[in-house]
Amino acid sequence: MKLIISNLTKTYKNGVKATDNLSIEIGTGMFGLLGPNGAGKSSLMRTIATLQSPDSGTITFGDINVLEDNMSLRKVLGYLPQSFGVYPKMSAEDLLDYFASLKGISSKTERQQIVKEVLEITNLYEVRKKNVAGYSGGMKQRFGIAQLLLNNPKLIIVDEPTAGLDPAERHRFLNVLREVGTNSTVIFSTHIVEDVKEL
Amino acid sequence: MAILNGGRILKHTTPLEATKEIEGQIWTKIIERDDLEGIENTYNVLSSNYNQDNTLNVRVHATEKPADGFVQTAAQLDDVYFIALKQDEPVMA
Repeated sequence: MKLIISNLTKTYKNGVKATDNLSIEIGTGMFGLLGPNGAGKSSLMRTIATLQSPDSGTITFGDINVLEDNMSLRKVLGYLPQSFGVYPKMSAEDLLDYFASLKGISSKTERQQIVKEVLEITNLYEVRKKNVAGYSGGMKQRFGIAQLLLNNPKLIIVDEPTAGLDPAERHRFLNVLREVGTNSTVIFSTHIVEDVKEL
Repeated sequence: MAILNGGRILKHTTPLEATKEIEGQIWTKIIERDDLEGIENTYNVLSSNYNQDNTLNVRVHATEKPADGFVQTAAQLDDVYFIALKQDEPVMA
């Protein structure tokens, strides 16, 4: 499925142009959005993720008109913001099970299966019983990917996921993204040139 | 990949294509720290890194050898990024 953004413009009240007549087409696979701080990466990602509306322009994903049909997009979307909170005293496994319930997976067997699957993809299976609050930065980011994979998204948006990670964790994290990017459109933003070198 | 700045896409390409595009256009020179300002005013300096002996390695973008002492070097994705951002800078009157 292809994401097509056409003539997207968003100006904030303070006059800052977050997106300026921006057009781009992105296909299946991993796509890196590289730019300095304040370039408009997060604004663009939030707009694609239907968290803010543009002043003008269109976005389509496959046959979904993203700006007019937010809910259809959200059903196939996995979004990981720059920072997110977790419940302090819950294990990764329990928290993912809870998120899976929230995402509408009512069968316990089905939840157990998908939770196991996403823990394995993100290399967190061995530490599934540990509290997420005690995870390292990189593990938390991988947990973020695990939770967004629960609803088998076709469009995955990850905002600055490698910021603050050590080189080994960055490498591990990007490999996880590459793996999930084989069947989905994965857009990730970064200000680190190294992150997009192998795309 | 795409390079974004000021809410606009500056470049939409692949890392391989992007570096290929500027192959043969990246030059380096070791200079004294005091010479940096002059070099920056004369050439399109993309980046500069300090050496342990207090000299600097400068990377310059130019289609031809800028001057004696410059050595051609392999283009890197960092060069592509800095070129895109520099070309996007507002022109001073």
